Amino acid sequence: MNLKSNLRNSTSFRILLLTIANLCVAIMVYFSANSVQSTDYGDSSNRLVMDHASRKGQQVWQQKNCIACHSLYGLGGHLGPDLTQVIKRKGAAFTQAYILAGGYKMPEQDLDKQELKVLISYLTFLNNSGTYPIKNFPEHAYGKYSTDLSSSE
Amino acid sequence: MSNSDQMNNRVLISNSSHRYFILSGTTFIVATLIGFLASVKIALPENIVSDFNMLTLRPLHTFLSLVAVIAGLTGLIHFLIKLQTGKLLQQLQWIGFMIFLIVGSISIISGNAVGREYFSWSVWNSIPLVFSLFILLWQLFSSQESLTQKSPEAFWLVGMGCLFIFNGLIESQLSQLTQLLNGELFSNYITDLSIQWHGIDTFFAGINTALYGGAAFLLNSKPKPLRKPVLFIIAGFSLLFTFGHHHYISPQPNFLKHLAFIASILAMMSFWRHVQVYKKMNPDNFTHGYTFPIWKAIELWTIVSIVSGVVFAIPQINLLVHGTYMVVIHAMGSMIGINFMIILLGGLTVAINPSAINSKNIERGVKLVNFSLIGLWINLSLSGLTKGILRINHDYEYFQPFREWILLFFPVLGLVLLCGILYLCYQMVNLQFRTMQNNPELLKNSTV
Repeated sequence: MNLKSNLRNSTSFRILLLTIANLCVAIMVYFSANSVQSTDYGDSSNRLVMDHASRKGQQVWQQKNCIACHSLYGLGGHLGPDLTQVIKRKGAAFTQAYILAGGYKMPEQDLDKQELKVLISYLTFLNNSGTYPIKNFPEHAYGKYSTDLSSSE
Repeated sequence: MSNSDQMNNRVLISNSSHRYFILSGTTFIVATLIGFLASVKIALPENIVSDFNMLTLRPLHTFLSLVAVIAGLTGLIHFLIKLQTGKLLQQLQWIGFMIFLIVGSISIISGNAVGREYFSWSVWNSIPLVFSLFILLWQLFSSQESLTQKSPEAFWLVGMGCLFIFNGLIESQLSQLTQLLNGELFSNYITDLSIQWHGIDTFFAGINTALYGGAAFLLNSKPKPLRKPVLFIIAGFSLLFTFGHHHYISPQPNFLKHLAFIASILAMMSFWRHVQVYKKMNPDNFTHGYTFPIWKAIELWTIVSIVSGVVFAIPQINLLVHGTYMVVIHAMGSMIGINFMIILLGGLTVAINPSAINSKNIERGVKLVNFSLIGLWINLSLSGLTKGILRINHDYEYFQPFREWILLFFPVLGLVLLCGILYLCYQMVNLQFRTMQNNPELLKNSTV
């Protein structure tokens, strides 16, 4: 009976321990991601903070489900190209026109002026946040290139 | 509890378990069908632009896959627990889950899918799912005593897995909610990305862990290695920190990348154990013939999943495979080869008389699924690796036409996979109906 009770308590303790640990990791991730990058990546932190328009643009990106076909930093759908640096590759005006009119594989998007404006702001923010995809293997094992704009030059 | 109460409860378990397995089997079929249509769209995009819209196909595919897995897991848990929470909670849980399914499906089909990768539904539609999961947790922990006596390690896996599913969902949806309310909490892009992937990883780690626990119960096994504190700590560490490898490429803090790398590599510890189990598998050790091919497939795809997960977590290799179809087939192989198979096993085990199941039929279906998954691994790896290598050496758009012919095999193999899943799900769903119609109170808490 005592053994059974110990086992039960040990099981409950383990479940509780890992659940609390997982919550602590989430909190740690939040604060560390917010603060540590400025020391690890020089002055990159300013480039990684979205302004109001970019945040609104991120909401449009989610509401229009752009992730179904496109990726950002390689995360998302693979039907269309990665759009992390579409502004650099195609320019804001071309991107804006393409979103509205559609094209070869892409259906036209029903966006009003304000939505389009903030979406372009978001894509411009991403464009300046780093480099993706890379054109050569970086020295940094994990790909520190993502905030090193010079590596794409 | 009187004998008649116990009998009523058994009927409740039976009906509840069966309807979740029916839902799981049906949604698996629809999700695979939509996945097949998406593969046609990927292989021949210029021919089928307006007929199949990826804005609907992709979110519907991931949404229904999630519904199928959660429904299967719920059915499995209902089958394992001795019902202690009564009919009302059963009904409320079902209603909550169905609201989530119906509202989510309608919004996606009507072209209004919103949200993030894998969670393509409105934040508000998570409320009925959270409610339903909360009742599941309540039911599970109400049965803790009996389940712990049967296998403390299996209960540890199921209980913790379900809590992780709950936590991962809440975490992910709270961060989205904050963002929708124009909060500044996630204005840093990397914080936003890190929390998003921590939530997703917690959610899927929970699903995998809970299903493994369910499988341990079905096999009537006690995964004793987990009893050792050192191995428990290693398993826990892996569960907590692997999330970072999803976005090595982002400037998340380096120590999170190091932890993610170590946690991912530690998964190799279980590799040899699975290889040994696979090599020693003998059909004579199983009470029912139909379970052997399923278990063999589960072990095979677990090995493939571990090896590919570890290899992809090596930073230099991750640079090549990240953002390619190689990651897609890794996730697909785990979801179908392991999770789907465990649910199938649970669905078949619920039968009144498992010995009546035609083992040849099951073996045939498993062979179809295995064949298509092996083909998809080769096909999508070739496509993914080509993209990864050429991405580094050439302009991004230069090599797109080069890969197009490789992807022509994608829908062909997808069709074979659809046939396999359709075949197996039909056996499972049909069995649920037959068992419900015949005599549900004869249901026994059997093992395989």
